[in-house]
Amino acid sequence: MRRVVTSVVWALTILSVFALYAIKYDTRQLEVRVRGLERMVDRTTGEIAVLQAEWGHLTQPDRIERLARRHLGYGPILPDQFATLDEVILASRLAKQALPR
Amino acid sequence: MNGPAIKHGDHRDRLRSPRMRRRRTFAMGMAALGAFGLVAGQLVRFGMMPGPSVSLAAAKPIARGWARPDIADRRGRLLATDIAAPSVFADPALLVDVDEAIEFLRPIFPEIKWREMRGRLEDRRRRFVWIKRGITPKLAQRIYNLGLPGIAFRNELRRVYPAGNTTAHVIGYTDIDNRGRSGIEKFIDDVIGIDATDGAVRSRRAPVRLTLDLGIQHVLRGELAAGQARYKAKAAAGIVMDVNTGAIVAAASLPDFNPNEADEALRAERLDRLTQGRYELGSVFKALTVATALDLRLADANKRYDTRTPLKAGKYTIRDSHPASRWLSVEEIFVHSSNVGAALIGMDIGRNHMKAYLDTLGLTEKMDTAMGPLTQPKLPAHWQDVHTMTMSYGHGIAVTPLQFAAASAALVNGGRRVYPRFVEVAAERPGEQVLAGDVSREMRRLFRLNVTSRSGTGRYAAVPGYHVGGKTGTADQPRDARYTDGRVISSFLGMFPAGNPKYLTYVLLFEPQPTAASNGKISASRTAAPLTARIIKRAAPMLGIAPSYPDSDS
Repeated sequence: MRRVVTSVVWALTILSVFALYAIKYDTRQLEVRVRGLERMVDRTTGEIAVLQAEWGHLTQPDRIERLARRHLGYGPILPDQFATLDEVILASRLAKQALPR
Repeated sequence: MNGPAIKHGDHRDRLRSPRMRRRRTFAMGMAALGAFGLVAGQLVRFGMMPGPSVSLAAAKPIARGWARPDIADRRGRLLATDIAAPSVFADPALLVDVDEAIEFLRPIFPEIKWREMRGRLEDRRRRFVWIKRGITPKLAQRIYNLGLPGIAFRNELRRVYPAGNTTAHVIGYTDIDNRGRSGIEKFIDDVIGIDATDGAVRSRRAPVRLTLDLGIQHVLRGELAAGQARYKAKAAAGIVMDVNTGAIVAAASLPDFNPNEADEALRAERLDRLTQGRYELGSVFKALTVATALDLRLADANKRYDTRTPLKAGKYTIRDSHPASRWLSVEEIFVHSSNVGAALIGMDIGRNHMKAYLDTLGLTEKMDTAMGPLTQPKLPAHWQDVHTMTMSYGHGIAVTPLQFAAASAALVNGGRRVYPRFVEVAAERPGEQVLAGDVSREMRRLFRLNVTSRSGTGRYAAVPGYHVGGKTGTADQPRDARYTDGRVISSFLGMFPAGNPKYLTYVLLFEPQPTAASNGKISASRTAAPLTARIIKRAAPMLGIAPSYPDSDS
């Protein structure tokens, strides 16, 4: 009986040591993966920053104004190009009245 | 015979008894268990310790860079950001053939002084020589493909400004190590914080939100540039400010520079005239004089002064460019911009009151902003009556345009002082009341009258639908304390919509020349005022202010 207990305890001890170190090395592998992912995140964040700088440059008002004038023939909006909703409704009613029947 | 003899074997027998044997075994077993337990415990402890973390230990940081937060406008549009850019360096100890290296690199970098560089590269004791910092990845690839030994790369953070010249003076620029040198960039260094980085890791701090609106800024700068050319002025500057909060929506000063190529910024003419230039602003100061007189209840709009003859003050004579042949009311003095009238009002106010009002409006002490401290106002060293008179129409006192614009806000926003700012804040702090509410209402009326009146100096600032009000100022600039050479600063202080102003504009043209566009004049009435109209016409819709008619208001 004693021998059985001793053997079982020995077996458990050895097994637990193995299990302990297995877990420890698994954790280390995960940590390596995490650091790899963090590096990738940093790199991607840097790439996003470059793209946002590009975007900012392409949408800067100077450039858009130049392109709008040259290719679309646009100019700045002037105050008399504004109308309120009431004015639009009134104008469309007047236009309908003016149509020949 | 006596009892049985003492048997010496008794103790040993006792110790050999089965019970003692069991007890011994038990004790030994426990000791063994204890020992194993100790070992197991140590193993567990070692197992739970964190694994060695990889740490880059450089004995001395070779190239320390700085990571800065982004700068964005009030809508979040990007104005400044860090990007990783490769920098190329050489290790002279590893360079096999210096001549070959220079032969390959010279055509790529013709601007480098190669004679000096050769000296550095041939010194085999050095391990690190910068060749060029902050190049494009494409160029780095090209150099890499040359396969030169001893040439290597490091990623560094480099500041780029997507908006270019548009926000140049406000944002400032950075040096090659990514440290801020002026403007908001310096504010970031000093107040927000930058982080040292050994590679090209961007800052994790939140972007700095400015009160600027890039769209309005673009309009302001574009129109100032066009106006500078149209009126052949040496320089131009302008500001658009929220009249209630002091938030600066647009601020531009020309000439400016491209912050992406910051070497130009060091030339003197790239001075920011809004914050660093200090000028006698002239007749725009009459607005402060009239407001002071009204607030002191010394006068109302109808009180009349004798402005028929020039005023003698010490060795100076104060005269009007278009003298009237009768007494003028305060209203008329304002609308016709009479120097003599303003001086007389100033005398009524007196030195003490004038100083007190200039103090409360913030025009006597140094002002601090996120762009850095403004140049301090210059007041007369020994302030006498003659100075009170000249200061009433804006001479004898020199301030920065921004400081003056901030002081004027109180004239039209209900009488509260505003503190101009470039950076968004979480909560507004309302300024203290410095003028009575009815004085502010009266000033709005006078400002508007200046523009609607057919002979008002501000009549060319009118924009249909936007109820613009304002005051002109054509200030002779002194050279060696004399005002004779005809150089002026023409400026217009505007606000709209006059009934309930939301925004204040202050536009300056430095040394405009007589041109056809200004009908041969250099006065603000024909230069800065119409320029303001152009700016308001484009900017007001973008600021969310719809035109409202009829234009003529009560």
